[in-house]
Amino acid sequence: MSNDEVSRRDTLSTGAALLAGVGAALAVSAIGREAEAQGAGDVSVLNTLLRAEYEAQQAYDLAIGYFGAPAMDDPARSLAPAASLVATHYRSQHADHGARLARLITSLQGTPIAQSTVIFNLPTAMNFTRTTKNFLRLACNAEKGAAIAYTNALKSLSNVTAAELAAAIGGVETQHFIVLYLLLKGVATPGPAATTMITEISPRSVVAIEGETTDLASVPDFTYTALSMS
Amino acid sequence: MTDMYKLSRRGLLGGFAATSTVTLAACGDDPVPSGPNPDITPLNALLSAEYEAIKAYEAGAGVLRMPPTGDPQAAQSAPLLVIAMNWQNHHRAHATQLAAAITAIGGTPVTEASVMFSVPTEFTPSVANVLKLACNKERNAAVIYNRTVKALKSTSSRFLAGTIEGDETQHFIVLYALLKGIVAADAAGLITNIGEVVPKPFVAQVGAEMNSLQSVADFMFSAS
Repeated sequence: MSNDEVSRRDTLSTGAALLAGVGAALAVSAIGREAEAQGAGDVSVLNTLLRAEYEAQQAYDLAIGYFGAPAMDDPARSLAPAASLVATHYRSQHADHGARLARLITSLQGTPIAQSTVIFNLPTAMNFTRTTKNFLRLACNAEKGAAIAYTNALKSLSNVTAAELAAAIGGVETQHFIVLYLLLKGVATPGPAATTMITEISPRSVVAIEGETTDLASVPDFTYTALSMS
Repeated sequence: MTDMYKLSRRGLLGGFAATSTVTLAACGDDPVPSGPNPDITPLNALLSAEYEAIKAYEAGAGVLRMPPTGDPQAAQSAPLLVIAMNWQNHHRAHATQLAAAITAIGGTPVTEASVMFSVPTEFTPSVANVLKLACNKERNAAVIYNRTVKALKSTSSRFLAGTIEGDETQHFIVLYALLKGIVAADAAGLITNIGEVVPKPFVAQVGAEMNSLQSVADFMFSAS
């Protein structure tokens, strides 16, 4: 499989690579102090985040492929169906993030990187073997790295719409991260509604965007119920 | 009924979300050419929200310490209390950083004593209602932080709002997924790893402390 070919990127975890990439982009943006340079810096940072979104989609594709046919000796084989549902939902949210970033880059007179130019490779130098838990670990590490990268991008993004979007997406990566983290730490397990309400595991793909009707603000509050004392 | 359940106009309006929205609406989008730093007002609105959150968790803790007789979730109240107190500490850390940022740009932080919190009128004490109250507030807080990012003028203020927002979103989704039944707590895992239920108060590091997800180690891969 071409996506599995060894590359220099393999020597870094996905999360670390993302951080390194955004760090470089931030350094570029810091050089430019004038407005035009800031605009170019914003596009550079946003394109780095867009690349990470494309990588995330490919990583989830690989995970979903594995979860569909886990190894017979995989000790967490029974988790694979639930993991597949979660991964499929998270992947769809990363696709939405990628589309939003690409549109914003275009509106800032930049050129979004093409999805076809981004290739994700599974780690080969960190004892990564294809197991359910290793794919979940990979996803958790990458989501944490992404959340940090989006947050740190706020230090340099000069365009307020770009900052709003970075915060709105970063606040979803944190949700992906903590759910995977708690599952892997053994604090949480799939609940009774895990298969029927899986999209609620991260109910919106952005936290808050002005003018949006489908962000986290549209999730209704829970209503309070009285104890029944029968 | 204790003082924590008294009604107030702010409670009817929805607590800190309403407070913050009103303040932001008055803030405007254009840079102020002179006078006070324009980030002071929105940051103070966020600080007020954090103080309200601290008080909301205190109100919730009161229920968790002594659940009503017959509450079917009374057995879960002890670990939930530990988590509530951990998250209250997160909100204290947020407030500390917000107050420092406000002071650094020449503003005067609102005081905790000046901020009131009242539970919603329809709230009745139970473990489930405490979870719902916290979940509703955390979601509102996350949305308000994101909206405030757009109102803030300086990148350092936006960064601070963003690094806190990502903590509120973690609080929210843990509560939301539990309440929806998408995840369930593992009793044994919870005992040994209760401090890992949202392990840090910030997403990216603020100040010199190891207070963010940056200090959370990556999982190592293994054969199992």
